[in-house]
Amino acid sequence: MKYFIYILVLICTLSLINKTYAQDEKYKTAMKNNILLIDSAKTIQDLQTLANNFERIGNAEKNKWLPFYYAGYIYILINLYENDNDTKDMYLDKADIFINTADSLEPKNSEILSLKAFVAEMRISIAPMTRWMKFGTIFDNYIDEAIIADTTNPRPEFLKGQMIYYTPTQFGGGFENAKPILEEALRKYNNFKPIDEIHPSWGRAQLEEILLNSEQTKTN
Amino acid sequence: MKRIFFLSVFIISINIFPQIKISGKVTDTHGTGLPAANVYIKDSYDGATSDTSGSFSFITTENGEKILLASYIGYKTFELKINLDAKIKKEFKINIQLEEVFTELNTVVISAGSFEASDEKKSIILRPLDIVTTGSQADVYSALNTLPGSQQIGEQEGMFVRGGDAVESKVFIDEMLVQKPFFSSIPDIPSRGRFSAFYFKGTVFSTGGYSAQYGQALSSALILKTEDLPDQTFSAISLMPLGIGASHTQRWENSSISAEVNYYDLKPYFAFTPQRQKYERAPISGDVNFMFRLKPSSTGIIKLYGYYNTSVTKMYLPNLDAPVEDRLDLYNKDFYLNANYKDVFGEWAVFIGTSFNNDKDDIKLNLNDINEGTRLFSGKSVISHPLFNRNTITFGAEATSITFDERFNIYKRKISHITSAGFVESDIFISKDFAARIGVRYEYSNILAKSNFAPRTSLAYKLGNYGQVNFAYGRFFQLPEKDYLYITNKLDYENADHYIINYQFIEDDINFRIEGYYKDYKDLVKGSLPFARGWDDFTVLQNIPITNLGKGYAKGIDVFWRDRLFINNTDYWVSYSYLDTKREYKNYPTIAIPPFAAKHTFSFVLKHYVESISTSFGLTYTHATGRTYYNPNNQNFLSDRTKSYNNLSLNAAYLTYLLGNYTVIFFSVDNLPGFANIYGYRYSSDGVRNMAIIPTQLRAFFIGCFINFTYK
Repeated sequence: MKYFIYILVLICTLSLINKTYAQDEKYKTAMKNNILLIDSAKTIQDLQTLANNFERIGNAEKNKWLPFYYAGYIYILINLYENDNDTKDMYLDKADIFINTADSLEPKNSEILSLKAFVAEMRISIAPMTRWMKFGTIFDNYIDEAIIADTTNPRPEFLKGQMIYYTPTQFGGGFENAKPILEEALRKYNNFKPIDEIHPSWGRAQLEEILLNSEQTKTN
Repeated sequence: MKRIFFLSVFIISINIFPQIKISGKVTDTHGTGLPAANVYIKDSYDGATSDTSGSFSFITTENGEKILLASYIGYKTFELKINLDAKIKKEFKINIQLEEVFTELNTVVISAGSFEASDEKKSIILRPLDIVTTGSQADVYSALNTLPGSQQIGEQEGMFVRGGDAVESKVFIDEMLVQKPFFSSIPDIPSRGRFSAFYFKGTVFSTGGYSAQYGQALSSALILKTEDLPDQTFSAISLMPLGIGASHTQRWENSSISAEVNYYDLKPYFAFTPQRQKYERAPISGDVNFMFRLKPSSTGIIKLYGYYNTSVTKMYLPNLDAPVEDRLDLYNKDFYLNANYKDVFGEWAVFIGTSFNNDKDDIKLNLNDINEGTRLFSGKSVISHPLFNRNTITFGAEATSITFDERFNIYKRKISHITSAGFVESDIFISKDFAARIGVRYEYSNILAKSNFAPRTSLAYKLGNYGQVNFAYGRFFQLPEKDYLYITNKLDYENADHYIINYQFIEDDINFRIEGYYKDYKDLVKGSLPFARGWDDFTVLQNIPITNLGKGYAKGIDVFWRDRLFINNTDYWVSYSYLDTKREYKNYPTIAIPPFAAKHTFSFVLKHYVESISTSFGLTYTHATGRTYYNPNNQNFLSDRTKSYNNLSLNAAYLTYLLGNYTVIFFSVDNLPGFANIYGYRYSSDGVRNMAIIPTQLRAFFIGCFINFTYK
């Protein structure tokens, strides 16, 4: 009888472990599948579908920051596909909500801070003349915090370099001013290993595109 | 062991439940399909995104009593309890209707009669940057002069709006009335506004029909909101031939302090651009500004603004009745303080503010010693509370005490009075397309010992995505001017009824607006003043007793068109005002067209940014038809008219990044073609000699360099 109870306890424990393991597998698989689709999403509808998927995963898991991080990231991408300025702001407001949720679950995370800076950059691009003063400071502060939080993360430098690259030369921007920072970002991308396949790893392709385009226009 | 493994696999496998299909369509309240809505079972991965027609379909393995959610940007989240049990039902068909949230973007904005400049709000005609980059000086008023409803008055400061006199337009900073928004008045020379346009993040210029929260202005209210916490620590210096200035702003986490000093001496400038007036001492002026901001909570802010200015001018004024000119020495001291606290407690938004202003003119006119003092002390509190949807109720009270103090050699006089007011106003959204603002204001003045009751109403109806029709009605009261109150308090309030109807179209880059109005002035104070100074209007007219029997009207049409052509870095706007007005007040012997009303006014503003040289160019052209002036030799009062007014001003701002600091070099020239404008005429007492009132200089130049230092 005693032996039977042992077995029963063992079975129950194992099944519990199995269940949580299965849940974790389900989470990772769902995340992985959706992350793989980000690069191929080319319309607002496609991206919106992905953002909705991440939102569902986040709401179901509750204590995981990555789904909210990706939902926020995708709303930044959606804003790039939108033309109407007011609607752009509305998407960025939505991105803010998800990024803040991620931030409350995982404070002082370099990736989340980088995303906050990314939103600030997007806000400036909507109305540079009236917004650079306010959001420029916000952008700089988040980038600085993101670098301090993880010196190996290439994304803060990439975003900083990208920001300088798109700033007019007379305001201290342009490729020549951005180049050392972009190169530093590239060096960090070369050494950067994401914790696993569901942790952020974006930006490299866009960075290489900027470097390639600028070198080409220079040689032309 | 094998058996245990088998058992555990069995236990896991029984976790898999039968599948249930959920499908349907997401629509808005009009039945239009909403794409990209997120439809899902709460706390599960199971769900779908609606397609372009609004249809969705997904399979769930959840079971039991669950909640189905549907969410979409700009709509209220839909919730439905469903019982998932595959034994009972394997397929659900659910049609979901989402209700739109009232947001700033889709909801009608009450806007009859006002122009607003703000960075925070969307669908706004002007931005604060427009205020500082329009016209030839970085002055709030030169930008407002390009908007329809404003008159082009070059011989006097103040805002002359829709047939109203300058005293009928009031300036409010952070809700509080400002008694002396302009520098001291000198005959036939317009003085500048005291406060820098850069201090304000929001401007509402109401040309009529404004809210019950403001009073004591028959025509117009200019409502300025100061900046909250500045974005960063920075210093700035300004270098101009007119003077120099320096400022520093220190920003901490939740507070900031700014200090600014300016010193102006117009002597070198006047040597370079000769003035029509003769100066013994060109104007010198110095001011100190202090600002403190503190955020005691995430929703609250405490603001303090202090200003002190002192200025001196010594000049000669032409006197048509004497062989020699008059000598005028003017010393002015002005102190202004504004402190306020704003916060939100639960659902209650609270504002408490106070302001103090002490202004003193010491004048020497030939051998006469004249002092004029004005002291204002004011307190105001406003409370607002949201009701359902975006509906709100706002109420508050204010009290303003004003003391005037005058001395003419040995003669002294002084009056002091308090005006108390209470108001209540509600924004009612009948639907997101139809809104009403209904308010009422009550005032009591102790000097008149009379109260008044002013209803204010504004309706707005949205037509399509961008169009809107507005209607406003309001009654406005104002105390008689101090010169009358010195003599008698047996007077009543002056009042005006405004009726406004407008249509506006605000799409991202294109703004159009047409507004028609009718103003009915009643109980205007008329009568002759015994101590009128030499330059006051129409001193030679017959004596008229002081009564409230004056009256008047103004009607007209204002049109505004703006197009921002972002592709070409070009932005322009066009304003046109038609004004038909007559009034009988002051010492007018009969009803007449006042000298501050042109029948047609036209303005064109063009801004173009040339990226390759990082310079923005601005052009402002203004045309106004002739205004009336008083000619004692003409039997018909105010029936002579000046020729029309023309002005073309240009400005250029070169933006650069000098040694890591943002630098702006600004250049402007007013009246570039050199139009010989005449604002009116003055006559000698016998009517024999006259003199044209003309601008102080043919062309005015301005050059300045502004450097911003940021610390990083």
